[in-house]
Amino acid sequence: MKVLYFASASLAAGCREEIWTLERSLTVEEFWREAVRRHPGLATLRPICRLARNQVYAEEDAHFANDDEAAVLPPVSGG
Amino acid sequence: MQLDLRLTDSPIPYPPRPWPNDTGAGAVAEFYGIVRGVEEGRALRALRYEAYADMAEREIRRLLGELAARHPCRRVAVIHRLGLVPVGEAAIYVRVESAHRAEAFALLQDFMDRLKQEVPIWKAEAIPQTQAGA
Repeated sequence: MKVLYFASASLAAGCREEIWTLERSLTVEEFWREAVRRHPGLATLRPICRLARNQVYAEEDAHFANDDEAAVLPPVSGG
Repeated sequence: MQLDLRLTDSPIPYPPRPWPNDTGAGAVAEFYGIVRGVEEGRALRALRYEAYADMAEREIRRLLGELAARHPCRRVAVIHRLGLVPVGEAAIYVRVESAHRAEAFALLQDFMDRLKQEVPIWKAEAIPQTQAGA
């Protein structure tokens, strides 16, 4: 699975993109557990970030699979 | 409703578009969002914008589709600049063409409010006056 980090999340992760190899799909909770395990700096951002799955905001019951594109999105501030 | 959408690293031209070639359009509302020179008391030289471009385009299309059901308009153009945007230059340009002004004003206002809450674009870095480079 391709995982993308944007804005403050990319600073906390130390990268903009990485590949996770999954043996099974991940719930939102499992996604965050894995993200924080890889990048502990993301823990403080978790309460304010949203996740996207294949370029759509992920609902709480979403599952992330190997061929998905996931993204960690801090609060937006465009315009 | 026709939509012209562009995310670009290039400066937004002024004026970006000619008058509408559409005799049904009785109103044109335009908005420029300009980078201010002071943010939270700090003098700035530029802002750096970042986007999840594919999703941002998708969200803008979805948002405008939803808003157009409430405020029927004929045509919308959106240009959002990415990368380094110097103070005094436009970060976003929105133009709405409609039969009457009420729909154009309403769609423009609602779109900007929702864009700032839902579209994955960020002011990723504020470049202060004193910083070299950029």
